[in-house]
Amino acid sequence: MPTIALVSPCGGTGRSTLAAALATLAARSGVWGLAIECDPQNLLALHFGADGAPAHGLASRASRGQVWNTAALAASDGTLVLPFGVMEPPALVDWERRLVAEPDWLAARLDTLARPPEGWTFIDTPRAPSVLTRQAIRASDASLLVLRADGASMGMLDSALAMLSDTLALVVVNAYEPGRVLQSDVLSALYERLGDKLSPYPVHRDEAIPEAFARRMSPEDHATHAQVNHDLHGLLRWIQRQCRTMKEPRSGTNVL
Amino acid sequence: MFYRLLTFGARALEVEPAPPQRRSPRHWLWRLFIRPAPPQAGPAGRLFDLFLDWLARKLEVPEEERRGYWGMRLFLPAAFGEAGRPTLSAMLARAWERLQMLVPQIDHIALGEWLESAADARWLQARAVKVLVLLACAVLFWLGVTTPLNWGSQLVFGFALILAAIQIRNTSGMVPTLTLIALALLASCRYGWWRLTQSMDLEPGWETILGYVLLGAEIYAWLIMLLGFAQCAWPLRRPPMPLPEDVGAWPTVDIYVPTYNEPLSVLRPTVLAAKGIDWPADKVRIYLLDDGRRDGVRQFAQEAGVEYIARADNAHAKAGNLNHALNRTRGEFIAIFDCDHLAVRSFLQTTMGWMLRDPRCAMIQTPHHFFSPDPFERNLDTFRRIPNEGSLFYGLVQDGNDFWNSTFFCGSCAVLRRGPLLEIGGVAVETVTEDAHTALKLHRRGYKTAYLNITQAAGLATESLAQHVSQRIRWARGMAQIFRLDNPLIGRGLSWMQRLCYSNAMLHFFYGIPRLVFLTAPLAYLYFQLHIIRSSAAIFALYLLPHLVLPHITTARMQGAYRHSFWAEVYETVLAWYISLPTTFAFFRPSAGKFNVTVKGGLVTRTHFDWSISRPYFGLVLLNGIGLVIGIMRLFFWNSFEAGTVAMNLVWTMFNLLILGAAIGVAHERRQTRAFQRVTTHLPVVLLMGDGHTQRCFTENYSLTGLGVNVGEGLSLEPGELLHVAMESGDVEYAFPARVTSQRGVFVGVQFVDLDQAQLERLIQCTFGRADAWSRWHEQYASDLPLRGLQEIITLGLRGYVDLAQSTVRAVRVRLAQWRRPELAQPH
Repeated sequence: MPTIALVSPCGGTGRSTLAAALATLAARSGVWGLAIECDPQNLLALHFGADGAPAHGLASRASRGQVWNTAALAASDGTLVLPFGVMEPPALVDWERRLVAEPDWLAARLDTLARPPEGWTFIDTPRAPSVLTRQAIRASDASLLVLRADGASMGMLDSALAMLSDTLALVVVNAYEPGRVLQSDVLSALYERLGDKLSPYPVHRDEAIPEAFARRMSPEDHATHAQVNHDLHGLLRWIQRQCRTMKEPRSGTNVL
Repeated sequence: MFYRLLTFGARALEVEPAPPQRRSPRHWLWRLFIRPAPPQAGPAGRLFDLFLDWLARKLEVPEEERRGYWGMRLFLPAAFGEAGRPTLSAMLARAWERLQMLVPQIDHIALGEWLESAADARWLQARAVKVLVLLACAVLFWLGVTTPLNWGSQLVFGFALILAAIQIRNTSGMVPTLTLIALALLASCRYGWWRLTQSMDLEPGWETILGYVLLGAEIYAWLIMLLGFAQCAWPLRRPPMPLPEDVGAWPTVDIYVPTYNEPLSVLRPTVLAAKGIDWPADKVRIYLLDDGRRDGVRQFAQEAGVEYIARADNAHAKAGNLNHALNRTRGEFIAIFDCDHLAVRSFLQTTMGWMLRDPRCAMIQTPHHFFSPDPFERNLDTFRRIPNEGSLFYGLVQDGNDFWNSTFFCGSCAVLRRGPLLEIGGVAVETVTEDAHTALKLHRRGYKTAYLNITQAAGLATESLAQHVSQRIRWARGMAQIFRLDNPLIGRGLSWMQRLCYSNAMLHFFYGIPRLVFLTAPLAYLYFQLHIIRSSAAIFALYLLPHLVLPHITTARMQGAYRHSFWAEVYETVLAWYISLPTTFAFFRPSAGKFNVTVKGGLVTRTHFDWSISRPYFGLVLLNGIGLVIGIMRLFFWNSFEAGTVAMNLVWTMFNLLILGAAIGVAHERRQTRAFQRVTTHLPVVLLMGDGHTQRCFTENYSLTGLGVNVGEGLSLEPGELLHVAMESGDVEYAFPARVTSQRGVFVGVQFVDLDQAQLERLIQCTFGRADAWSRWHEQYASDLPLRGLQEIITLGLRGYVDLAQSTVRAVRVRLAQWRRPELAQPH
């Protein structure tokens, strides 16, 4: 029952997009797919075609001590999404302070959810470092580090890996353009540095992704033959293989 | 029935659709009777074609992709019996099936395995048993060959042998193959014995002379068959040997790419592909050996980062070039590639394992695969449908040679060990086939050679028939020279089977005169009524039939996947006239004659008929054609008392005419539309469009100048649109700028735009350099079936004559036009 946290030290790397896309793929392949948003941006539901940022969600209910499991929304193809919800900044700061004292709060809450054993859960996190990111990492079986193939990612790589040192860390390059020399150089450097911890399927940059988002369709429906869809399928299968080879459960000491 | 004939005739003559202004009954009559449309060419008779299609549907004629079979259909309707209409052959086939059901159902595969294990039984290994079995076999063989039988018994014997062979053919494994060889030998030797003892009682004079000439040719063919069986009885099928784990133990390798005058466009991909070979960078060095001393090539070598070696003279051509480089380099091993052979990245890792495992192995050879069609394949349009000429040699013969440790060097796609090479004084310079001679010298010294039947490189075949002929003349001359100067049957250092294998390779090239004899032998009777075989036709047929059928079954079994039946006759016929003189000359004066290089990289620019090279075929066709006419007259009028003899000679003549027709078909050069031949493979690629969209699709074919891709439904591209094509090599993805040239339905053609050298190198890694680039080329050939080869030859023979008729008419029209208006005369 893999739970994957998508983390990134940089902004705009596409964590929400990937979380939505992977959860959709999981749901469409017949198993259960849930995307949970820990990012106060509250945009994840829009990837599933919601009309606007939902008011109720994980944070808004949880901070008031209410039952938050019922705040999940279902997309037309069966994918479930638990949005963050609207939260005023003072309330958010307060809540985060409380979360520092309970590092396993999210993990405990997720355990109370009735999730089928083969299903997937993807947790979208805010830009690291963040309290919510740390909660998500502790609640997951593996963490997927989402990077772009640029200099900033190379610079932040070490600190990002240090943050994931006590969990199974997997890395994927997003918005990849093979025609750009710099990007292909960075990708080669990442392969050398990370070996088989880097997904062999970089997710290509494709105009179909923002187009699908604008049309409130999933990328698979909008552009069936796009390379991006092939990459996402491959990514999901790769994550599954990586998780299977690690015998220890999520709280174990899986090192990089 | 007439409509059916008309349909087939018109389809055969390929009455193609015409542009609207030429649609008229006169035109299609013209097309049908006077001037058929060229195949795959432009417009003619669309209306007529539609009418024919309608007729064909009404008559339930099966859909054929290839026309031109109407003649064959008349003789062998079995080939197209799928229409569901009961044909004679279909009924015969059903009768045969029922007969086979009477025979108890045998599990042939299990039987084959049981035979193999039985042959390994311990009591059979004892020496006394082996000697006893050998003696018994020898006695039985002698009995079988020499016992005279009356015609009834010979008939039964012959049929029994044939039926046994047909039945044994179904069982898999090596033991049935050896049994078939034994049966074929029995039939052939029996025929030979009868021929020598019973049929040579000839009238003194011309009959004796011609009779002995024919007998000599037959003895040659029998000898080649015998040696061939011995050579290919047990193909070794050596697997690749893994290299040691410690990369530090891997040796240094020099890669030589010798060149003389080939253009840089041919040389560049070869060198870049060699750069892509996987081997530790500090242990491999690439040397470009330029006998042309060209500045452009030197500059290219510098840009590419490979070494450049040129020498002051051109003594001994390629051999001298290699030897000159041998003295200036230091690698422990030397890999040699012809200037147009693109190596895959795994070449060294696949071949070097054996070299390291066996210190006495002096050379390892890999197949020469051609990704462009040779003249036979292109002009007869058999590319990727029927195995080509080289397929037998590299697929079976070298594997058979490997079993007897007599694989010989073929000049390219091989790795040699430096020590033994220096020991024999470098590459041999005494003959023009320096490669085979070098291997012979290595074998004489006691070194071993190996063959790895895994294609690790591919190159260009000869471009035109003229070039092909000149290349084969060089090989034939060289082999005849070696046979004279360094005869493998005498001299020390070789085992007996090595002597036989080498002799077979060399004697093979003396087929010129025997083939010419076979092509003209029936004419002795048809023209002059000379009986050069003293026998009645019936008895001759009874002895001849097993001799023809059984070796045919055996060779089809042994080499069916590599060469279809009767194609050997075509290859020999095309070259027979041209190699007769050089081989005879080289046999008697081996040191004369200069080396002529095979030109690579030229292009047949227009479809034309090569009149000059096909003159010998015309002569033979004329002789045989007149013989045919005379024969028919003899059959009905003049010699109807010996109708059997006339009939046999007539059948032989018709067979010769068909083979000659195929040879003439080869001389009809078809235009090559692309400078760089495309390879059909399905590779996943990503199209990166200018507007940011990506599309995943598969190539239909690729080359170094462009690709054909299948983009699936829903994508339409404008010609001239610029995009990038991303391809993978291993884990790395490379993008190449390209332009869309055309789109037909889901198939899009793109052409690469301005690739610099680094990009070209990467492109080669993604395409030609892939380790699995050539691993499945075998699968596209249909294996040989008993009569399939015959059908192919009949088709091609008739088509060759049709081509000839078209070309003649075209040439006559051109000449007439020139005669009427001299100002239209074009320079040739």
